Amino acid sequence: MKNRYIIISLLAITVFFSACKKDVLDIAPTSSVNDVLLWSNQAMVLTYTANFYSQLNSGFTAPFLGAPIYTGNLLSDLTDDATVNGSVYSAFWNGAYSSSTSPVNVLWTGTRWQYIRRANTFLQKIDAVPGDTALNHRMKGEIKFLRAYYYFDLMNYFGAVPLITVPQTAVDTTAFVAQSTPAQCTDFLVSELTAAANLLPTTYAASDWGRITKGAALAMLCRVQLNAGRWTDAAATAKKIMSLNAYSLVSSYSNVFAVTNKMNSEVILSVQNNGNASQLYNLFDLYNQPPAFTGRGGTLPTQNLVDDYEMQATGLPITNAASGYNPQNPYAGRDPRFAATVLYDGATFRGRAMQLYTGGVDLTQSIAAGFITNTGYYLRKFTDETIDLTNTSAVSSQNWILFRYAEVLLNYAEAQNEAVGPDATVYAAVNAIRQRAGMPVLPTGLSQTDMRTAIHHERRIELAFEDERYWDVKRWQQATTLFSSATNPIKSMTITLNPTTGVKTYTISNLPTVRIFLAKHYLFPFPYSEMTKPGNKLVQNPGW
Amino acid sequence: MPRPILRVMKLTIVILTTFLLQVSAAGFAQKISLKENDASLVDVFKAIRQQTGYDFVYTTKQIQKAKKVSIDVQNLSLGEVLQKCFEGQPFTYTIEEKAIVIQAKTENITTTLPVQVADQLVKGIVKDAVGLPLQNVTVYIEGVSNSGVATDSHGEFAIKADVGARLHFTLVGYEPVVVELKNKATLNVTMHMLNAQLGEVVVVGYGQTKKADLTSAVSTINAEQITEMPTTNLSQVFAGRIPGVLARNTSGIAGSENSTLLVRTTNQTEAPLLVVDGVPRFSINSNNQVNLNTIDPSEVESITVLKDNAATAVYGSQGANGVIIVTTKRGKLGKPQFSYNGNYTLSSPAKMVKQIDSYEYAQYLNTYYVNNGLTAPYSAAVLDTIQNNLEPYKYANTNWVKLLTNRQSFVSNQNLDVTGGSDAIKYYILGSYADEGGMYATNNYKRYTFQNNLDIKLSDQFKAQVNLSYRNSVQNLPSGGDPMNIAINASPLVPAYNANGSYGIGPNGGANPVAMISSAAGFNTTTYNYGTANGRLTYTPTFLPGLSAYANFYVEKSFMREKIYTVPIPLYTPSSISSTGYAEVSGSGNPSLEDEYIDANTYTEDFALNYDKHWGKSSLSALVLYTVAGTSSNANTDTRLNLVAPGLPILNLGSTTGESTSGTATQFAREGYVGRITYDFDKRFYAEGSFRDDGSTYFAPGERWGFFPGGSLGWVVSKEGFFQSLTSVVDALKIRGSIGLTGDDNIGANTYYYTYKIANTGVQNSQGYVFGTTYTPTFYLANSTLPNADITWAKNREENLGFDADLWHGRLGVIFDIYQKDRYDMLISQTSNLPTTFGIGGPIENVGKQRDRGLELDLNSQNRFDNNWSLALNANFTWVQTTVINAGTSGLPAYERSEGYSTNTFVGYHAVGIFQNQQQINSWPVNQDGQNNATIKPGDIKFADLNGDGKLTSADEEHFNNYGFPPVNFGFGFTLKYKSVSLTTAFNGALGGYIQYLTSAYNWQYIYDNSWSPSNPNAKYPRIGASNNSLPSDIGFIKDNFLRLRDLRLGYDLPTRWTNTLKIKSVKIFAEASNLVTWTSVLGGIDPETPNQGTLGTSGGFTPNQKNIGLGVNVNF
Repeated sequence: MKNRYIIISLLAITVFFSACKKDVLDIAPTSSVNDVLLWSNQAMVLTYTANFYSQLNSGFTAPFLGAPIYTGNLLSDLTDDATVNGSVYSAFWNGAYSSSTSPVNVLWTGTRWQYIRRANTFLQKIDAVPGDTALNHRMKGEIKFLRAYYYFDLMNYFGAVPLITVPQTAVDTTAFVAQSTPAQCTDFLVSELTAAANLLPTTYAASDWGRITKGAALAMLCRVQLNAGRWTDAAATAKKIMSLNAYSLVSSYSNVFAVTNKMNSEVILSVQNNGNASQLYNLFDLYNQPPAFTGRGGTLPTQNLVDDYEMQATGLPITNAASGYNPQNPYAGRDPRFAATVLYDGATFRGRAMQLYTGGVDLTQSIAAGFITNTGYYLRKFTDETIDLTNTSAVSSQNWILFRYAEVLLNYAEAQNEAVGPDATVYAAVNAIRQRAGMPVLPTGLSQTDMRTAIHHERRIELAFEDERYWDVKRWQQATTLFSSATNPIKSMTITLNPTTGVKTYTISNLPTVRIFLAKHYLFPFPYSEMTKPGNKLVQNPGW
Repeated sequence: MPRPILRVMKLTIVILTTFLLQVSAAGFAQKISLKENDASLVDVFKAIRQQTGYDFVYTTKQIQKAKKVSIDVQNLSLGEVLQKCFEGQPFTYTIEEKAIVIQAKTENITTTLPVQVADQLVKGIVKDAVGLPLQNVTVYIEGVSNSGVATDSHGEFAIKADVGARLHFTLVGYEPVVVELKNKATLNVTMHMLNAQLGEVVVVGYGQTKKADLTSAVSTINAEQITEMPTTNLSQVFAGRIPGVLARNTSGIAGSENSTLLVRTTNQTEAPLLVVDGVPRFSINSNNQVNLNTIDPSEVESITVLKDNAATAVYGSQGANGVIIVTTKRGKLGKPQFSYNGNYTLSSPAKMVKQIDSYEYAQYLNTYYVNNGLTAPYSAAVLDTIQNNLEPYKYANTNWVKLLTNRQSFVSNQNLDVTGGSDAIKYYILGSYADEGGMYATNNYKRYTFQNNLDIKLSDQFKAQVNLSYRNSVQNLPSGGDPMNIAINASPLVPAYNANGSYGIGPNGGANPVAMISSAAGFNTTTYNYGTANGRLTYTPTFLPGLSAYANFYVEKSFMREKIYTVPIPLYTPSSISSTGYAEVSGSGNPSLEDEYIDANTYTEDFALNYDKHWGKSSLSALVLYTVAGTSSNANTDTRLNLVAPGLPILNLGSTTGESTSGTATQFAREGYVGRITYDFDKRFYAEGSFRDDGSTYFAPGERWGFFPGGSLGWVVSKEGFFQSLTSVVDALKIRGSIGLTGDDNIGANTYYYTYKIANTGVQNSQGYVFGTTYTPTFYLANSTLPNADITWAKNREENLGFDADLWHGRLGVIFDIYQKDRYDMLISQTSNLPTTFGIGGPIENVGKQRDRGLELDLNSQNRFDNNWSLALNANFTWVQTTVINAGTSGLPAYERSEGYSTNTFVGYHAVGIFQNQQQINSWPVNQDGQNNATIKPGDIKFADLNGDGKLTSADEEHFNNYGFPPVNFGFGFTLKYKSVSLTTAFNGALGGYIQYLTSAYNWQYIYDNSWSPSNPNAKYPRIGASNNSLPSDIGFIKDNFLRLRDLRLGYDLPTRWTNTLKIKSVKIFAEASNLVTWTSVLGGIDPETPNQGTLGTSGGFTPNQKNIGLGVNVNF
């Protein structure tokens, strides 16, 4: 009897033992795809391209990729166009940082180089991916563009960088690569973007709207050439885009940025959002609308910018006595782009007139002291007046435009003016933009210098808050003057309402904010921790 | 159906239901007087039980065959009476614990029968070491069963014995004494208190042993100590109780009070392995900490901590960080014993940060703005309004922290267990209910536990154990996250409520913490269901004594469901342009719901062979075991916004716009072969060796198997002849030494090849992109380091040297250990040696090295002054220093090198003072801001220029050791008893660590009061708000020393005459308190066991440890 139990039990144990011997450790990891599978499936590779697009930086999210700064503040806050009533940009403004503490170190150490490596791998593998060759070519063009975009972004902040085009494998000191020269960097971008333009289509089906086009590749090429002062090349590239006949100016300036008109004919490439709170969106409206509407008054236009809007009737700057400007009625009769860009006292917004005078609701009602403007203005451009900011799950869905046709025209005008002089094509390009805005055309007979001034002015007004001002002023080598409060103090407007007479008094004063921009600030330093690595080949930027 | 099993199934346990017995301090009478004529055996049993308290255990089948009994005895011992009752019966009996078990008569029993006729009456007195009489000492004659008598309250006894017989004296808690009778009619016996620790049976890896036989570093907490503290979370019982275990309580949120537990290391990533009833648990929670909160403290029989590698080597790859073994209670032979325990306490935060009032806050804000080159937001007139509270709703004076903590919560923990059983089946069944109120009405925790442990004797050769458990817990939290985080830095100028009673706006544009904790804001409910089944079949063959085998099968299913239902709460602010006078600033829109579900399955199978052999003075035992374990889990999270039917938290009532879903699945397996051999000679020399060959799926095929051996030696010096002169002081001394190798596989999992994950909606949604208007999911590279197929285990070699000593007859027990753990082949990525331009981290390689060194001292002392007074003292001390030997940074500049420092370091600049005036700034040789100090102002920090290059760079940063985690931890306590009153205390503390506050937290009174201003030049902190001072530095360092009165309990045993009236066996009542007082060097009100030690300091946004005061009761019936 007992023997039976012994046998049964031993049998049971043996069965369990043998059942377990079917190699319990033979387990494949779940919820991921391995390298071999990905690169053997064209559909999966196509899906993977979206990941590279996610690295495009939207000014609605951060001034630069990875910036630990409130979402929705624009790079303009570092220029004379805008300020912030807070201390988030203190280090940028007063320049009090070292290569150890530079606020832009995160851009270098963040994801930029990771995605350059991933793009290098992509470009190494794409030709062998089985499937439609034409699609492989297109994807190659897209990733070539995006890799160039990552490089260009780094070069804007740090100057010349190492050019690495294949994924490195050796983990010793040979992994360190020295900077190329600025010319080599530009040449690399030019050849990459030219190649990309040749691989890419001019348009896509609506469901693929937002992918890189030939026009986008050329638009970035044009910007690269402009930055490098290669005027003839830049003008030729701009001309190429113009002759694609794929883009045109939208009839209304403010309609270019309207959230209801995202895929308009002026947009060449934008960082796309669909406003789905669990997908891609931004919080631009929450962070920038006036606090009385429960926004946070982030980016605040300065009096410096406001003063630069011309009078609509005369086309003259307000400093010209003949312009028709009245300092005690300063907002009347200005360039229509002023009202489309800036929220000023009396402007109608969300169904009421703004109260930007002392004691007015827009200067008193706020959830925190720092959300109230200290310049007398709030930002209107890009805002969505229909969004319900009291709903915590409501998000903004504007696309951040990276390249638009108006910029191409202005690029053309600037490059052509520098290369050839103010010929008719230069006038045509600038006047197209002025006319669309509702402004008189430029007076004829301008000298090359006067035309340069006019184009610089036009860029500031037309492209305000589109991040261009920061790069333009640096490109024009005017930053030590324009970005220093000693030479160009940030100005604000104070409006006092006499409650009995109803008369408003307008006073302009300087903000106490100290801004210092020295020659060394044209380029940011490479992070100290990179420079001290054994084997480092980078040469620190001048002055750091 | 096999007969033995049938017998078990048919088994009826007959328990004598009689009058409740008279219980007295004298215990049960050992002399029996009985007169029965032709009575049934059952009736006789009843009568004996009434007089002695012994239970009888038998089956109906057995008793059917019983013969009637006639008996007439006066004042005979139990043994003599039983002898008469069982004369001629078809069965015999054995005495186990407090029960008499009826057994079938077998041949070999005759060796103890019949009782020898005693021809001499021996009388005597038994006393303890200090000469006090001991009662209830059992005295019996060797080789004569049923011969036992007990001493009375004067310590006296009388027994009939042969000349030359050997008398045994036993008493729980005392060392047994054997006396040979040599014509002595009167005996004076002295018994010594047993060192409780050495006598204990200790559960170790895959087995158990006596503490006295241990050769490795093992510590225990027993059931009594565990239930001393009125907590529902088992992880809380470790602090200050076990030398070598560092426990930090970092949160007081109801249901989340898990202590961080570390064994012999200060590296917080090295969490110990948890083993429950012999089964290693997979660590499944995010912080890699063991999951002790699912276990009810009262169901635990013991906790063992295996500290050195010789002890943990049998856990191989999981043994490197120490092992915590929890063993639950099992059934005890006898009639059902019910026990009810209840704790009822009131709970409130033990320590809280004090915040500044609104007037101070407005001044602070003005200073902040001016110091940042901005315009001050509050004019003098407004400041006056604030100071005099003239407009309390526009400029409020809200104490946010107080609003969140102003209510005491009620915590109760109750359980009822029953234990009992017969020879064939024993059971322990526990049901418990914990109900813990949190600081806020919307934070609470409830837990139901059911544990059923059965021991079944299937036949003489087969035994089975079946453990079934089911646990259910529900934790509620505020739906919008932790309100304390917001409150701690909130502006007091913002009103919590408006004049019309509506909620005010949230400070700094966020949520209103008071609205967040209201039940109208929805809920965040985590429900946890957890079932385990463990079956063990043990086979002890009769053909080879000493051999046994078992197979153990364990399955576990856990389900976790978290529902976060967020209802927007309208917040209003007074508005001059609104018709109602108030504008809604937030809180419109419909509710949203996040629904997360995780189910996990785990199995473990063990097959083992044990062999024990004794010959001469030698004992040998051996173990061979095969184990295999695996786990798999699936997780889904869905979020939908805009739920159209408010109040119905159901997913498909939400909009698909804004919907996000994510899901993951993981699986993992381990396999191992274990062996151990233990030998001792004469209980004088001990030797043990063990190994485990272990496989883990974390690594590439070919790198999966590791071999982990361990060995230890023990020498009981006190048994040697040369030592005998010392035995008057040192009763016992054992010297131990051990060495072992273990591993750690729980890092760098699956990094041996490139993997791409899918970014759909959910947390990774920003990895994808929108084409057209449609979101496109994407693959993204999951590796942050270059794949490396050559990586394998991290290893850990540990040497331990220790001794156990017992002095002055049990008055003092000392356990001392000193050790060194060398971790090598640790998996680290040498990323910092590569340039950022490389684009991916350096490969994870087996190159890291770390050393843990420490010493541990454990003292305890049992003192009995007379029959009424006794005092037990215990103290322990732990010092542990963890040092990085190789982190792959040795080739880097000094400031980036972590070699030579502890694992808890703060890296920052050294502050040498604060600039008092412009002159000091002008003459300061160090360019601190890159602008020749143009932006430095009086009140800013002076930093040391370590490398003397005249400018401040990262190279001037240093490493500060012991940041946030002290190297010295200690605990002590005492239990003082007088008759039926007892006072128990437990203290714990730590020394040698540092913390600091975020210096941006100026709305804390302590920082505000101690920040620099021209009128406060000797301040600790720099001027308010200047960004120049935000560099990490040691300026705010505070010593993190503390001593905490952790537990205090005053107990009283109700007099037996009361309990008799209530017809119950015993009742104890307690007044108890935990975290009653904390003395600390940490100023400013923060709890010293603070979490959130970020790079710049602690944020303070956490729920501190709770202070509990209440009552407890323990009823046995």
